[in-house]
Amino acid sequence: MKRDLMEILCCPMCKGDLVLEVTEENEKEIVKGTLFCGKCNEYYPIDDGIPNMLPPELRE
Amino acid sequence: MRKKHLEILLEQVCGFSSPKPSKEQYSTPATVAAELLHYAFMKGDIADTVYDLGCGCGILAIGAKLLGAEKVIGFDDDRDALEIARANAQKLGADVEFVCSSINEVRGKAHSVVMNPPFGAQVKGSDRPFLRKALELSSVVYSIHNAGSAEFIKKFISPSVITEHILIDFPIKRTFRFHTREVQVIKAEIFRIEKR
Repeated sequence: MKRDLMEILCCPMCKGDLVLEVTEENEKEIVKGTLFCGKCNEYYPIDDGIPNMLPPELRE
Repeated sequence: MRKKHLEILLEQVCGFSSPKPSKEQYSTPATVAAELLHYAFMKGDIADTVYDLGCGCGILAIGAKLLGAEKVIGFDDDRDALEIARANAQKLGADVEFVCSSINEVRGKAHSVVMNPPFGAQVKGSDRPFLRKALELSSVVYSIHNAGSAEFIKKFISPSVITEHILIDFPIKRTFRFHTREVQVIKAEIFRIEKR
């Protein structure tokens, strides 16, 4: 995902803002990282450039 | 780009590796995707930002990008399908973003939404959240439904309106065990909906 995707991402539970932490980034996009919701104390993973915004119980 | 050329490109898009019946995960055929996208393009609706809701393996999103949309995002709640979608986009050189999300949680604003929602054959009414969300996000929606859905859709989307609908052949390849034929062609309709 590109950084500007942050504009439309929010915590699926509380709809609050997320904090981006990048583990791996190339010239095009963020490949790996996490999105953290401080209010819910929940992490949403970014893997292979795809942010997973499903609440934890819906992730496979 | 001519419709046939787009169709040939979209033939390269791979489908689901393990389709889930409850989500009606059969792939949108390249013929159908090209028909919808070319039509939308001619109407000037493949411009600016385009969203694909329930994008699955990404065929509509990728096609929209190939036709020159500035920014395209595909949303689906199936992480496995999105991985295939991403590989498809890379293969075709289409710069598309994919987000794993429940359809109800999608945010943002798009000029148009292109989508092939579940027809509601397995879970009745499963196309409704897609229509509702699409109209919340954008001013123009292109959506594929069973032929004969016009009356239902008209009521459901009111005060928004159907401006056009085109009858098409929708070939469904044998995807699930309960499908009895190799390819079954059903009648479907592409709807263009304007938000009011």
